[in-house]
Amino acid sequence: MEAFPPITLILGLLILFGLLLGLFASRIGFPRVAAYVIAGIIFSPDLLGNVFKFSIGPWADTLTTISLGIIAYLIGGSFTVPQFRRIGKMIFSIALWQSFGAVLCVFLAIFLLGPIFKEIHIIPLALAFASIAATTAPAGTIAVLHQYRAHGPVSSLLLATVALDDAIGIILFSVMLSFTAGESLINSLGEASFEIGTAVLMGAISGKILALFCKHIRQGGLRFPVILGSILFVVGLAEAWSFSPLLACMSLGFLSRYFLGAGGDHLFAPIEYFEELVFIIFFTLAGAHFSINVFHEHWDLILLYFFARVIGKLAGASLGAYLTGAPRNVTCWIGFGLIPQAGVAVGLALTLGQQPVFREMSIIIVNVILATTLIYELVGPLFVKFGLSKAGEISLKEQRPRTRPQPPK
Amino acid sequence: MNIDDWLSEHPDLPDTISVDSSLIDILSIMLAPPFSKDIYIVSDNKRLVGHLSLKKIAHQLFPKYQAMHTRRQIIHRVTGGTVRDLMNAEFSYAKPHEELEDVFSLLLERDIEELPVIDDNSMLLGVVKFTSVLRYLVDKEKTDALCKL
Repeated sequence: MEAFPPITLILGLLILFGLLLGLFASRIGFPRVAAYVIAGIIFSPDLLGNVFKFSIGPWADTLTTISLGIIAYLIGGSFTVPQFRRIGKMIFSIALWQSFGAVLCVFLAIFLLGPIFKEIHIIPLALAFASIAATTAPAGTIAVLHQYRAHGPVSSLLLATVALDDAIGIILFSVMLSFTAGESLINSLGEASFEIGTAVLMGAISGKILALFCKHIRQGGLRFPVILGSILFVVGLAEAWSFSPLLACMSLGFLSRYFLGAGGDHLFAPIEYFEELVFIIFFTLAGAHFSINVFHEHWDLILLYFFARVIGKLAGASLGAYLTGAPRNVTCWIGFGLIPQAGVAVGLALTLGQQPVFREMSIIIVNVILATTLIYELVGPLFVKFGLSKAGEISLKEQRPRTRPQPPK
Repeated sequence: MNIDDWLSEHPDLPDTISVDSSLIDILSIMLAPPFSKDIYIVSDNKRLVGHLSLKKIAHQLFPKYQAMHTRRQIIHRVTGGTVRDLMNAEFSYAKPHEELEDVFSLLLERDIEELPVIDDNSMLLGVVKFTSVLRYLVDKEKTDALCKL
């Protein structure tokens, strides 16, 4: 019998190696996300994975589900009801339309052009990529805003839109996943309504209990196990009763903050530290799925997804801004700030592999999202900078990078 | 010594503001001498309803100096967080009948600088400062050591 290394060893190596490469990448001004992906790729079956007999088995699915549950909880908890009221019509319109734009463009592009590239399973493939297309990585956009001290209407609206659109992306993804569960349209509608309704209800009940716990637990160290336990409980319940773990965790985050009231530090601060760890896990695991053959055979799909999503984001954001009477500056340039895509998209791609409908094509989905994440990480900040400079919101004085000065050679 | 006795010997009155105050006004109050890192939010009927720290207000008012944001911080930044949004409504506190040693244990255990003291109606009576208690304990240790000599 062939001896495989223990799961803990694989995971430990991926996290440590990913983190080391990420830190090194930051020092030389390279995107950290790309370094995490490269760390995973190094341990993929086509490279060192085969030498060390690395196997990304079912344990990775469980880990991905829990990690995405944590991210969904944080996304749900980032809003309060009064904040929703203050956000304003224009931001909602831009966030909604740019998400719909990306989803629609990606779906149509793959559905119409997929057969030319000899892609099989066109409808599920188009649905899978469309459901991932809405999400945006806020970190890349915020880094550019910070670096150039950007300020003005485009910058403010951009910030609000990137904060909202992961929530919209997760809702669209969960709804799409619920619809694929049924065998007919009526059946699908019934399944989807049950899944979404149960997810929100379970999130609400668990949120109420979590808020009660956090109200009475004043030791910071004890709040963490309560919160993590609640997320695991909701994710587990979702798996057992077949409802959406992502929607349930988002409801848990949103409603626990609602029931507890104010700040939200007690509910989220202990978990926020985990966000980077979760993304390291996503990127290195996705990197470990890397396959040279899939990259080689599906380069056309990679380009198709990349350009269709960019066009959808640009057109959707402009339409959303136009419909609410935004200034011309906003209508023309806001879409450029919404191009980066990273962590949540990779997490969603990894999750799709667990669904029976997408299992067969999961390796294609993960590899395409992996490749486009790398491209978005490299060109996304350039898009953001371009849009902001065209809008006239970038100051000429660039902030000094926070790296140590190099000694003279 | 219980907290009631402590407060009569150390009448530290904390800064308080109402939930409708603006963040920039709060910052001005906190930065005025004597400088304080904590401020307490009281309702219209003077009941203690929340707590805010200097760092939290600074994060909210000067976000452009931060390279990284959590999702909550992005939303706070965009929606211009109010005192009600930001304040911590679940804070640690002491009651007047509690023993000073127990309160000091709490300050150490939860790594906090000061603890508000409230009565049964949530009215703010004062604060117990970590440094004041520490100074008292050090003096007490020295006196005890001298007595032994």
